[in-house]
Amino acid sequence: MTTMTTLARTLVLVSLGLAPLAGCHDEPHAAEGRAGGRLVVYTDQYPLEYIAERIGGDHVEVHFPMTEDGDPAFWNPGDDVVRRYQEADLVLRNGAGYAAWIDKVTLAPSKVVDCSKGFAADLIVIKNAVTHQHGPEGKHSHSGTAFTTWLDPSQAITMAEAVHAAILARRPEARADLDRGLEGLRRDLAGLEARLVAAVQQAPDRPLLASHPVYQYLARRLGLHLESVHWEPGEVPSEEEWSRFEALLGRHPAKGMLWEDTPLPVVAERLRGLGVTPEVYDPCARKPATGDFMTRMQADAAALERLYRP
Amino acid sequence: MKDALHLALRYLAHYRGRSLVLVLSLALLLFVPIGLRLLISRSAEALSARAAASPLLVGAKGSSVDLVLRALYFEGRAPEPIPWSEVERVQDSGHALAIPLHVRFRAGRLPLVGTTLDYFGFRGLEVARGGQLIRLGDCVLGARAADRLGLGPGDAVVTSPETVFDVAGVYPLELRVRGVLAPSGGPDDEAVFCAIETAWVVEGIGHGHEDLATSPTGVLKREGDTITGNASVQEFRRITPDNIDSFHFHGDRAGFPVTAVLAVPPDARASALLQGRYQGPDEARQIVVPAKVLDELLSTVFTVEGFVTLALGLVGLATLLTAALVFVLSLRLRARELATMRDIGASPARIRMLLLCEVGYLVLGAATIAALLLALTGGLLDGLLRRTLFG
Amino acid sequence: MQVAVEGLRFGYPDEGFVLDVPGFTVPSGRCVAWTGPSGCGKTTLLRLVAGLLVPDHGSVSLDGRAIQAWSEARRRELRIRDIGLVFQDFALLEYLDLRDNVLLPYRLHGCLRLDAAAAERADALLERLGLADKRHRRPEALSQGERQRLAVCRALVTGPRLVLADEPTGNLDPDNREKVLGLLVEEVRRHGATLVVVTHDQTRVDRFDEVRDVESLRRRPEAAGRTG
Repeated sequence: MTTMTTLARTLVLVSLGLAPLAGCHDEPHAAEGRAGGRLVVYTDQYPLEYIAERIGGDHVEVHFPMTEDGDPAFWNPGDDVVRRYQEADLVLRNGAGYAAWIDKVTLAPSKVVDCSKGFAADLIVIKNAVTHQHGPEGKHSHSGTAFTTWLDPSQAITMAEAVHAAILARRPEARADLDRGLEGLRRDLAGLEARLVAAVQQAPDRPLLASHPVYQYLARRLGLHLESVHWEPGEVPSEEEWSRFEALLGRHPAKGMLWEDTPLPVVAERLRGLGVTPEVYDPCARKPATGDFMTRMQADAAALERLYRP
Repeated sequence: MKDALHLALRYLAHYRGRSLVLVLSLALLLFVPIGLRLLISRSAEALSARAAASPLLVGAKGSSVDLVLRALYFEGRAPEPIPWSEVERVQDSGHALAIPLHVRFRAGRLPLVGTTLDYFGFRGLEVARGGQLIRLGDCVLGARAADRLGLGPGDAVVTSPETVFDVAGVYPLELRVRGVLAPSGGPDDEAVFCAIETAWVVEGIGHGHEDLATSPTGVLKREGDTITGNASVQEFRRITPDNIDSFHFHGDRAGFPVTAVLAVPPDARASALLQGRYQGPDEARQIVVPAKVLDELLSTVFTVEGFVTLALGLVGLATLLTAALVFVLSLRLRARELATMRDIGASPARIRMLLLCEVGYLVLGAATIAALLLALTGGLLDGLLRRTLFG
Repeated sequence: MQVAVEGLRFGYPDEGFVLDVPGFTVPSGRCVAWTGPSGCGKTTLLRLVAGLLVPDHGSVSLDGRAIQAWSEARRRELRIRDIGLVFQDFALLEYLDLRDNVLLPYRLHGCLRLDAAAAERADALLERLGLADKRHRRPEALSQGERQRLAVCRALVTGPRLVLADEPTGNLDPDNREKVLGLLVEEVRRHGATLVVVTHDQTRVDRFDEVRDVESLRRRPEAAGRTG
């Protein structure tokens, strides 16, 4: 052990959550120096940015640096952005197959925390993906995993706990603040969950539709009778899609439909004509224009309440 | 003294042929054992330093020497691979930082080491030119690897199979050189590094190809959700921004192969605790302290070296005796000369001094030549032992 | 330098040889030749005078100082400073050039300093004895006569007060004998030194101030036996 450099030792201790031992060397981590002693945290979507900020407060400097339009799940950041992730003290990733770009860039595993690991066994596998075969290796599938994990508030709490543990390992001296941050967040998420459960309890058997298959975990948690189509908020579905939709309504008579974003007025009108009320339930993968993750989730809960009003 | 040196030098210069033979044989007498000793001790030092800087290694059960040589020096026989889950097992133990090492393939005839960024941090390897690994398909070169391959940032290097006979699964992948590391004076200088995921692509676990679901010509048969590709489906030999999204891994990452896990515990207690975890009777992996393994290996080397030194010593003694005999015989031939000196007024001490100066010159000349030989061959011999031992 | 021998007795017991000399004196500045057949003790007497041998009895005095009682070191210093030796076989060092051969005494004893004056003396001697052109050659390049001339240069370079020559012309042809002996005597006289030449050659003795048959210096063995 004597030949280990101070830097290497710090690396080891931090990776193991033994930072107080590393602290006895007066050698600030490169990134720490840059952030004035704050832990530099990068995330691969907005909810984790929010969670890390709620828990870490002044001890962290959290970035989710996506500036382009689009869904963070399918983002492909440029080299400069990847370098910023490499230089971070901590990278919080959603996991569950979200943001696959992370698997194709090189990050130090000791810095990367998969926040869905706490419920890895409960992840929902999407079954209808194509399986194919070529060469001698046998069949394989490009099947995916449902990744909007945070829409289940219980899972969001588990993710928050993972974030708390990761920051605490690197900033053990801030334990009191971090604990307080987690507690507040846990309370808010539990409140959200209670509100959602209560809303659905009004009419637990009511069928519901979704414009996109992103609500799997929410549906599982709340026991929703949810069927999804593949409609984009900014597009008008073709007549063929409408007729398939009507057929679906025939065997799944839903009165409400969840949308990731506001559908085009013409689409909304036609839906209402079919007796289906569109409501926006934004998964909030990106920071909303106003408010934050929690206000957005509460707005989503309000939308659900409207759909389940008796 | 000056006079004695002058006379001695004149004598040796006059009989330069004889002097040269004496000097050369003495030089060899000095050079061979010292050179051997130096070579071994220097190589041993370098090996030991590397081992001492690598606290623990986890690998498949089997030869601990193979494991250490492969994981630390990228040489020798590759041990059986272990699954990625072993990396997580070490990391999750909380006793050590786990750095995976995948040392199976070569790139441009040099070892290709698949690992993670933690490796560079742990070894203190800095990027001297270009940048660090960023994406799948990137590599960084050790300082000497860059020199030997004549490559730098922006260039490409093609991977090669383990052996020329390994034609089955592995196909060459063109790696993009992102950067060149600063010299570190160790095996890292002569290696090509890539992300472990890239190594898996080389191994064929991960690959990229055109999307079969949309390919008009690549489908052999379609059964329900299963599409079988035909021979026209092209696997990409180079990972580019255009095709990187098509790269994917098959199976569970937990089962992906790793040559060894470099485990870095923060202190002796954690080290002991981690080692304790590998002591079970059903344990399929071994954990080794590289310094200990190397000490055992080197003690064998030193035993052999001891015999060689003994043999060389005997040969040396014989040579020395022969040289002494030559010298004494030459004294007999010089009896008249020495008597003249005595008659003229030289003391026996002065004559002894003169002869000593001659011997001194011979030894000095021999030592100089031996030192020159050592200096000249030092660079060439560097690493020779390593290659001899592990090659 | 005056050489005086008194009651000298020296023997090689193994060979049954005894040299018994009642006494004689060579005055300072004289050139003398000691003659006699081989084995008569000429060389032994010369070596006794040079202090290379120590008599069993009697004394050898140089300028009135009895050297047989001196330490080896003191006799060495005496030889290097005050005595020039010329040998029958020249005793040159083949690996030194002519000049280095001449200057050899300066390199063998700490009491002499090899300075510019010494070098000048060596060059002057080589010049006078006709060897200046070859001063940087080695003895192997010399004829027999030249070799002995070189030996004479070496014997004279330190400016000795006594020159002892043992058969200096013994290995030379008649021409060279004449020449070398002439030069030797001439140079010694020039230096004002005393010269003792041991030779069995009776033909060239007219150059010397005095010629003594060693047999005449010796006491007869039976007389020696009586006194001893």
